[in-house]
Amino acid sequence: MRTCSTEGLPERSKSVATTVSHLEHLFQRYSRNVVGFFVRLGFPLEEARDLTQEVFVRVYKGMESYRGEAEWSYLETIARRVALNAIREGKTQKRSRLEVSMDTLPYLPDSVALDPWTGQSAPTQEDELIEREESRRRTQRLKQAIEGLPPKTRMCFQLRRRGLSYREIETILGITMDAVKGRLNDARNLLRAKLGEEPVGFDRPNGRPEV
Amino acid sequence: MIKRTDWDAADRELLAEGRQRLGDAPTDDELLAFSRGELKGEEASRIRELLCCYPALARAVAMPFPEEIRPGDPDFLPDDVLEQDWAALEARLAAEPPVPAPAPTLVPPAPPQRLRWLDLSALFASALFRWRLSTVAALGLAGVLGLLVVQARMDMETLTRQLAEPRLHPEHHLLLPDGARGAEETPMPLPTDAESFLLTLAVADHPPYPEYHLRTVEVLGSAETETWSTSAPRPAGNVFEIWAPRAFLKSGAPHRLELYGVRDGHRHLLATYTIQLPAGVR
Repeated sequence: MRTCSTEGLPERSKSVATTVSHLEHLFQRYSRNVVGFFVRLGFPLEEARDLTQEVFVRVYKGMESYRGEAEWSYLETIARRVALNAIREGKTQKRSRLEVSMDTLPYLPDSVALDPWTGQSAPTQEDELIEREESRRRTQRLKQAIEGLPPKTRMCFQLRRRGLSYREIETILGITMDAVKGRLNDARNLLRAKLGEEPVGFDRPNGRPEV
Repeated sequence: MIKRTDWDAADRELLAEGRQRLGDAPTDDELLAFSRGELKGEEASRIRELLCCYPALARAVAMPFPEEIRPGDPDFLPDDVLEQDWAALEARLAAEPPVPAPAPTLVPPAPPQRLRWLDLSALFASALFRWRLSTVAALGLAGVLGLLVVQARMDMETLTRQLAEPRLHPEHHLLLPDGARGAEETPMPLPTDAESFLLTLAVADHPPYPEYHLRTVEVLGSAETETWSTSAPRPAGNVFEIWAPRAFLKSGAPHRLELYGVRDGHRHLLATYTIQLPAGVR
């Protein structure tokens, strides 16, 4: 990677070149980590690279006030600000979702014997209404069960359900990892008792939180 | 049998209801203060509740920064891509307008540090001497002691809050007016290793004015450019304190700080103070 030389430059240019040289040092050292941070937050790689550029532009602009003693935490704060901003603008995984054109969907005649996706008998309108009503009842039952959890247990459970890792929950709630596991275990037991069945889909370790 | 889609539907509804009940997401400043552990009690609980309803923001706050990205990791950028990104960044920086230096600020005078309850204790002492009532003494002393404890606690909380705030460490510099610095009248040199300066100038030697005007002028040969100005009433303690970041003072060029007294809309020059950051300091 090219380095900057300040020789032969006027005073003001020297100052700028020194700043750029310092920025290049930071970029070489930390940009992979910053890209990794955005990717792990759910941004597509290209978006993560753009956001990393934004981080280093902000670092450059704030270079005069930067003391140099804790560059990592300085970068981290800026990266988190950029991430929060991007999340508020809705730039996370939404862009990486598969988009299906209406033209590629198969044509379905009004009366069809078999569902072309599953190969099973297509449900009648009555079946669909019944299923929708049953689903609504199950959802209400689940909601009641979740809302009935003790507040701390509920919060822990909901954060997990919404895609946060144990360590992230630990940070947000300010409790130990053992406490996180304990509360999740309590939630599972309480929900099992209330619902009368093992809570399927209880945990989403690979889920990405919705914006 | 409860299906995964039922869980998703229930969670979606609870999320929407939670957002409606708790309101908008916390601001970036609130979130960063929370992540630094600067929020306590109810405020921290409020942010936790909100984060539960804004999980993407929660992750952005709580997700640990990856310490090492190794070749083979899905988000590892090869050297050529990194070089490409650096070139793009350099081009972007070249197109950015130059960063303006932060302007100086007039530092407001600090409120007097004293115990407010001391006045109350004086009242009780007065009552004690007048009536010589032991009950008054006992109750009064107990009350004063209690209030002092409350005061001390409040002071401690204020101090803790102040210590947690971002801090500036300016180099304190008492300015002597031009013409009062001895035979060799050269600009007052400022130290090179400070990030910012707290320039102090006294107005006690001048006749009192209802208002004062301060301005800085950058002197480049015969050209003079006003770089900053402000107006302020007579300061408590007859001292103006101006916080000036080093970036504001172009190195090598003298800067003249001018102090005016303002009466009936007319400015009277009271003193000038010429300062200079040595050449070559960035």
